[in-house]
Amino acid sequence: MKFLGRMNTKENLRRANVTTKRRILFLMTCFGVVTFSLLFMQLWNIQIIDHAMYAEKAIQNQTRDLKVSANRGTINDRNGNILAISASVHNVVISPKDIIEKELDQNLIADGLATILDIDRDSIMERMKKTEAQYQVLAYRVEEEIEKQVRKFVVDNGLSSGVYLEADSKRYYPYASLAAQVVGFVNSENQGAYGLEAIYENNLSGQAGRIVTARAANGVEMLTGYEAYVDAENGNNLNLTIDSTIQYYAQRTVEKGIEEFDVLEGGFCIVMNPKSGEIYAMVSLPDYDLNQPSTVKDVKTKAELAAMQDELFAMQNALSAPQVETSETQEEVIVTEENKTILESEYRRALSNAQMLQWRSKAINDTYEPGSTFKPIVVAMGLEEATISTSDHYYCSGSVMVPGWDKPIRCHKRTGHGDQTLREALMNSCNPAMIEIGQKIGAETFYQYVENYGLLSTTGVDMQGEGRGNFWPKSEFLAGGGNIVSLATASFGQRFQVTPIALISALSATINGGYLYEPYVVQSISDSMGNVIEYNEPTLVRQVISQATSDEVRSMMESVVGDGGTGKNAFIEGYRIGGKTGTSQTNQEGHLIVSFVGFAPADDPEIIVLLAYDHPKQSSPGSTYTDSGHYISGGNMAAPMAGQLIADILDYLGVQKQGEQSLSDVSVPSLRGSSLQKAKDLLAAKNLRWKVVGSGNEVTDQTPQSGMVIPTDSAVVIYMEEEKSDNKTEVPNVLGRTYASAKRELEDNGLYIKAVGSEAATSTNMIAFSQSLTAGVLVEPGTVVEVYFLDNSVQDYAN
Amino acid sequence: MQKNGESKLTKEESAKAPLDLPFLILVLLLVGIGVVMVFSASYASAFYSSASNYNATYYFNRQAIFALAGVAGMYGVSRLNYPKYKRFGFLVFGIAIFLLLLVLVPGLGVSANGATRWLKLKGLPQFQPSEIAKIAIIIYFSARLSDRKDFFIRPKDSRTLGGRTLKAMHDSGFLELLPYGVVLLVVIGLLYLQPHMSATILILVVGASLLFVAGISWGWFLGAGTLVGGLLWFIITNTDYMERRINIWHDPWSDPLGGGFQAIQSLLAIGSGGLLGLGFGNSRQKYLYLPEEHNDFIFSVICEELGFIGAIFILVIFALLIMRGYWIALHAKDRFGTYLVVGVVTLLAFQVFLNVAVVTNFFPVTGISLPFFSYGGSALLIQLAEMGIVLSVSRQIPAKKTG
Repeated sequence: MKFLGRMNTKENLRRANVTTKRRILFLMTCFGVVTFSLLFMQLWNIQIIDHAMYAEKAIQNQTRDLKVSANRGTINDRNGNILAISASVHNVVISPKDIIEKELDQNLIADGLATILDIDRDSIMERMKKTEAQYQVLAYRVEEEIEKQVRKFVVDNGLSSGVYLEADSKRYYPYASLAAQVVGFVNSENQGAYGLEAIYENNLSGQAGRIVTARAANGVEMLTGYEAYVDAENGNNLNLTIDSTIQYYAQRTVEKGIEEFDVLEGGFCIVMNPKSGEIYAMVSLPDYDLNQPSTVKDVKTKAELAAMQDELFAMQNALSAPQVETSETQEEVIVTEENKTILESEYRRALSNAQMLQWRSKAINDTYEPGSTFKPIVVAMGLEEATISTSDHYYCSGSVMVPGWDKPIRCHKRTGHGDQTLREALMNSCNPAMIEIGQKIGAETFYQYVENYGLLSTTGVDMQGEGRGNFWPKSEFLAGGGNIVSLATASFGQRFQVTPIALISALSATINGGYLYEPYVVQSISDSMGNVIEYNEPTLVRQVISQATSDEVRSMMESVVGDGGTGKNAFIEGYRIGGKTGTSQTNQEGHLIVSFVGFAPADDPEIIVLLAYDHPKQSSPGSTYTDSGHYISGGNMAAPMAGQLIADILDYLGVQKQGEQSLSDVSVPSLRGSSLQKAKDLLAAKNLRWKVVGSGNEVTDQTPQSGMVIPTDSAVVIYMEEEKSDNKTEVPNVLGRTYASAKRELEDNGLYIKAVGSEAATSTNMIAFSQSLTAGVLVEPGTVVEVYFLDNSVQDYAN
Repeated sequence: MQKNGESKLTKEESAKAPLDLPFLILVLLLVGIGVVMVFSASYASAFYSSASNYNATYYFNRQAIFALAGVAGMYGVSRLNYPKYKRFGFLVFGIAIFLLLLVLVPGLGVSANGATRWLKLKGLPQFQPSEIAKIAIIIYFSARLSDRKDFFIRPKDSRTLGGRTLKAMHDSGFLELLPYGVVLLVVIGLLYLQPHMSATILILVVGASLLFVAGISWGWFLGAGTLVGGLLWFIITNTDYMERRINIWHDPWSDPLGGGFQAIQSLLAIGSGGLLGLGFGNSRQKYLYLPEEHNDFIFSVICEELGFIGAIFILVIFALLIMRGYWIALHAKDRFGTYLVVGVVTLLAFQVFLNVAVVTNFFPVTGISLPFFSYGGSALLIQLAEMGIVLSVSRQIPAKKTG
């Protein structure tokens, strides 16, 4: 068909009209119906079929979901001292995109923030180049002072559209390393990573809240907006049984001993309430600063790691330096990439080992051979089963033969203890006696008691990663009616392992009337308003022995300390302390763990302490002394330290000193205002001497002041209307001296001695072990220096 | 349809005849709803923008004034005696070409988003010459198509090769189509320089529809359609840019902040509207998420606020208007009137379709406004004037013979 055909005939015109009409109708169908139908279908799909999907996406698009972080609960000690607390801090954030769009001065921002935050200016400029990004954190968790500076800088320069502060929180541990392994720490997301922080994460963390706000694309709230709040629920607080003062004493005691005795592998100490299982203190060294958990604290390990780093650095330099081809260099150790990689992985391993070592608690995670500290338990078994009695006598020849073992088992006293009562056998820590007792008890009963004492299982302490003791399997221990050798060694606490926490729990049961308690560190959980929502009562596991047996063993253990047993170095004047020493072997030759378990007051124990030092260094292989001349044993190392610790704790707890004061000590009377004769009478009545200065009629001053406790036969200076000299006197060094010698030395310097330690301080066996004022310190004349004496002859080695 | 040629009615007579009431009512309805929707859609951006002096009703006020002026203008145009336009067909076309050239003059043309489509002349509101070009093409094509006599070139000699070729070209209609093709190519060329994709499409569609209604052979459409389709396919498959755009069209979420942004924001608005919508004034996407929310994407806001029901209601009004328009074309008293109305109605119909197709991601995104709804004074004035032309044609529909 031609374009239109001819137009000048009527027929053509009619035909053309028909064509036009048809085609208009076609267009009408096309644009009036078909296209609209397509659009309807499309709208149906979007608005009806996919409505839910788009609606959800639209909500995401239009709302800003702000997280409101919950405050993490605090961890308090038993007196409310804060061990861990979260404080609000701020992250400094920039939005490079907004900085560009709002045309903020990049140089100004970089300069200002680099100064305030003390970071590299170039790195800030680098971050600002990411102009697509709206969230670049320049500094995490800055504290209030910095935050204020940033805020001022932003406000002063009108930068709020590109630089802002984002609230965050930071965990602080005010006591740094105190009870580090108990408290534990949080990771960078503020989630518990270790210790109580980790196992009580759900309680401490709380529930983050949200604010959902409808926002216009420019971030401003919509006019017809909506908001939804979900309140943040703050975390709960943990209130521990730990007493930070006792913990501090215990920590100091372990640290001091490590230094004093050349201890190589740290130590541990647990202080517990024997009548409830509340843990007052738990120390494990090496420890770490909770505020910097990844930093290795142990000085020696730190130095080793630093040396490795130096070596790595040197290698790096050698590798990047141009190769010099001389025969000389070829002879040197060839530094290769491979060597460097090996050292790098060694370094990483060493670092991670050191971290794991300081994070874990020897007191609950690790096991060791209890040694002689186990003996009271054996005695208790025998008495409870009535296979032995307090009237028994045991003979020690220095060694004993046990069927099934071809060598004699020796007592630590090679010459033997001779004839001893049961009490004396425990005081002497006599191995042959213990073997005899063990045989009387029999393997089956023995095993049963070990199980009842909870030494085969975990104690259930509410802490992380509690270890489990390692005893002979029952079948092996009982094989052939009882394996004599295993029973024999077990009787004096060797060849099996327990965790310190399990041991102290068992020993608590031995002295508290027989009750085995589950130890615990969390006393209560309270909500953020302070309402207690959970309170932990002591959990009695079972009664292991009778009250009578317990009383008897407790009394014997008091003799170990108070009546000249192996624990006599733990004796402190005025306190009734009971205990037992221990020197444990390990798989390693010459690696000993010296320990002491002590409790006080012995008639009604309020605290029980287990203190141990891991591996005091021998002066030479096979030697029983350290470089500093200390005999390596629980009695010579752990006992005196534990005795002092117990005294400190009892003093802190306000436990009255018992018994009479030593005859050799008197308190200085008040002489002021009296006549010379009256003063002399007063002093004479107290067995004190005097020295008169001046010639007045009335005593105007005295040295020492009234109330001071000084030994009898010391000279009191009486000032008769004469000014006291202001000159200070230097404290002399009296360590290693006998009592008499030390007293003389001090008096020569115008000072007084107060002897601490075993009652028989004046005996020549006792030598000064420590003094309360360091030599060389300048003090007022008349000051009393406490000198601690200990018996260097106590030997309980070899078991 | 009556005889081809000038109207026999006097001007007075034509003014007396009634307007087509259904068409008028539908137009007024759409303009009214459109102005109200501009109010709702532009509320947020006017409130937040310094360009509107933070006056939430800024765009509404302006649009309302233009609507009133436009309706008055529409009435005025409807009273004109449209056959007289025929004489000015070429003149109008010439003016349109001139204006399209003016846009290219630096200082007169106004650029936005990388294209120069607006003309700013002293004393006149800013407007798009392409709008003028559309109506110019309609008038020029209508005039030329309605006025044609038997073709003026008589192939005189069919014995020579040239003569035979000329005869073949004449007989196939090629020679007569040639001027229309040249006109379209000139306009498209000028639009390409702006560039202005959607105006190009509209002008092509309108031009084609007029030729179609005038009776062009189906073969030409098949040929042109094949040619354009093949060309498009070639471009799409051989240029990374187009391929990327097509991919984004298929999955806007593949580039949510770049090429897919507009489509996503529009789909979120439409989709979250659901069956009944969030209620008038309650659009959330208009809070600066949806770009051009009172302009090209105003239909998305309608869908969000009024839901599927509201959107369908408006589309149905459009469909009725369009069908009524074609009805007027069918009943126009002369060929020129028929063509004018077909041109105007097709232009309207295709623009509506294209806009809604774009905002629903049925078609890839291209800038095209929704007649009567999108904010823009000069466009509204021109659209209403075009409706005035349709109404003026409707006035001269001969009354049905009674009995």
